[in-house]
Amino acid sequence: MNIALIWDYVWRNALMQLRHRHAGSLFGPLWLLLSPLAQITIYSLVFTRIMETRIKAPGGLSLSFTLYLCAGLMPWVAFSEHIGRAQTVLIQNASYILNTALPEQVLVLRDALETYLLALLSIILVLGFSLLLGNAFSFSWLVLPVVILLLSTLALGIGTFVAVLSVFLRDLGPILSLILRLWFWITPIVYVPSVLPESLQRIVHWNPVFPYIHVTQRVVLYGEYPNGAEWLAMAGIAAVALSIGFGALRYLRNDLRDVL
Amino acid sequence: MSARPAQTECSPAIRATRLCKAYVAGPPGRTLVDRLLARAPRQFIALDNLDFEIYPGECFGVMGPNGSGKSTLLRMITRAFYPTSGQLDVTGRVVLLDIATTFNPDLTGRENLIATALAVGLRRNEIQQRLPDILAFSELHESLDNPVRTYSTGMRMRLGFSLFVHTQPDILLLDEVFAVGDARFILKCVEKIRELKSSGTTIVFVSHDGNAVRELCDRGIALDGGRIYRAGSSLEIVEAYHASLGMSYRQEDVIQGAADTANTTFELADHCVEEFMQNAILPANSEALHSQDIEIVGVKLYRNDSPSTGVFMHGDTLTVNWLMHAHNSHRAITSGIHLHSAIGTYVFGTSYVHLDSAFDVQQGNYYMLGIKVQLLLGPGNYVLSVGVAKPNPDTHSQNGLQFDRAVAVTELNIMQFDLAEGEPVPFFGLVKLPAHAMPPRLIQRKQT
Repeated sequence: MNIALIWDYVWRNALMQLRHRHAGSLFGPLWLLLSPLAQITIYSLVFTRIMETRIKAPGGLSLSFTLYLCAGLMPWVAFSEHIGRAQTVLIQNASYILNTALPEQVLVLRDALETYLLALLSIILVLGFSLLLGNAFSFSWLVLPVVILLLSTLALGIGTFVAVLSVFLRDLGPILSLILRLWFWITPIVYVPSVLPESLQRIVHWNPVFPYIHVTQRVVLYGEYPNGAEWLAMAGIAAVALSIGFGALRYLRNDLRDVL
Repeated sequence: MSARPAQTECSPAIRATRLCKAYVAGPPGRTLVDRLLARAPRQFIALDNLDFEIYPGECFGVMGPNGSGKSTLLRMITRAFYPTSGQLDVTGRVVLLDIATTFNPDLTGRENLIATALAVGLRRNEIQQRLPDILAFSELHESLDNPVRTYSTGMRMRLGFSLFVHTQPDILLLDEVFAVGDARFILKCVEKIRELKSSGTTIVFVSHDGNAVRELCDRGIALDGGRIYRAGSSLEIVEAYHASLGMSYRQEDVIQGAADTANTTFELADHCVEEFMQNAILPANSEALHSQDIEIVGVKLYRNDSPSTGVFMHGDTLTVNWLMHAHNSHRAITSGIHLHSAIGTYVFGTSYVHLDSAFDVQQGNYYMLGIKVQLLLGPGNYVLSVGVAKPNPDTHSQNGLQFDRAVAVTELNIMQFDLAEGEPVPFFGLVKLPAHAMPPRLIQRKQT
């Protein structure tokens, strides 16, 4: 298979999977919009009507907590969902892998592309919500597709590693959901890092998803461009994850087909 | 290796040279640990030193019992698996169709066609171009827009076959595809396969169905335990396959074993036993009920008095000979044969007591028995079993004491057509009953 064919396959299948994610349901692909919209609505109701929470921005401005939450949550949901699904992607597609020369990379790539599109869609909704709150459009929003792309690359790397490993260790599933839940809470999504004690604040910076989430939150809330160090961190972490994931796949590819 | 077909002077589409494939065996977690510690994982040899060549436009049959390596071989040809050692050269685009070809159950038939077509390497515009032909061939009509989860196995096979034959592959691999699907559609598939073959597509056809292999294939191989034990014309491999079913050729073991228990009796017996056990079928699935009393040690088949491997024509005379070893003396015992159809219908059974020939056996002796029967059976596969028992004197039935029962000793294959004449079997169904046609009698219509 050449690159053009692989791309054709990856692109078409990612689109098809997106479209059929809710196959058989009444609203079908509409759910792709409805579920993030519902989430945003619920959070904004909870945090404006029930427990009004505002966060203090550096300039003394007070900002919507809902916006902060959504800006971090949407990319996180796409990221964690990708890793959760990566765990079964090879097992579920065993018949393709065993009967065709289709490279495994194609399957994980397809899911990563789907994750990217999904995350992009929900972040656009978050930006729409921001406009609705009366915030002005910011050109810094244009870096978001790139930030999300880097986050999806990180997801692709970790996801590939998880996908390969889970073929050999079938009990990875429950362990993984535990790790993901823990990971969610050590990432500043429902809280701001400044509420943490100083010792913990430093540890937060070692969290590999932190730069992506943090940058997204700052772009959405303050229209702040990421600085050079942040770009470097995001690209570097993604590259490391990608090489670990694809390295594991290459190392175990032959055995993988035997034990599938 | 059989002679290559005369018409092909070109280079082979598939060439296997000392091809070996070993799967890692054992729990996946252990395999991972072995790899990480750079230890050699436990292995299971699926293909052992295969050598063959398949030329463009050939239909190549692969037969063999379950687990003999047929599907592994196909997966290697698709390049999904790499050879452990040896070489496999494949030229061109390959597609593999088996009944396990999975579709996404929530997508419709049409959507699945597109998804699968992309997976086998077709471009979007090629798919659009061929879609009408594929849809028409499948004859699934309205069902095409229903989710595949509502499809029967036969309908899924239709979907897969229609797609794969229209992808214009260079090499088409078919794994047991005719096991499902109705007779008319299969006929259509056979026609399509012939058409592809004549247009130069190489076909590798895996099946347990001797008739289908004989009809479609030019030549092929019979596999057992990952090795080629017969290569040649399709008829040769069908015969070899049928001969191999339900038996093992552990000749030395048995002759040795027979000699061990018999060396206190007559030396002459040893010699005869040894001679009989040459090429005899060893009952592998023996249900040794009281075999400490009487044991069936070997079975031989003859077709019209010459040794047979299990392929017969309707009307042939089948002679079954079997050797028993009596470990105890018994009076008035019987022994007989049973024939079951491939789906388990008990077609026919007879024994010494039915033929008024109950006999006595003495401890330590060997006995050679035989029943001759004319196979007035319809085409298809039949399973032969042999048993020995002490009948219930009142009923003549099997309700007595069973000594040994060699279940499914071997398979008989009654061919659809007479090999020499090409005449079809002159009746329908499993058994030819004596029948006569009365001359037509005109019933005069009443003049009004």
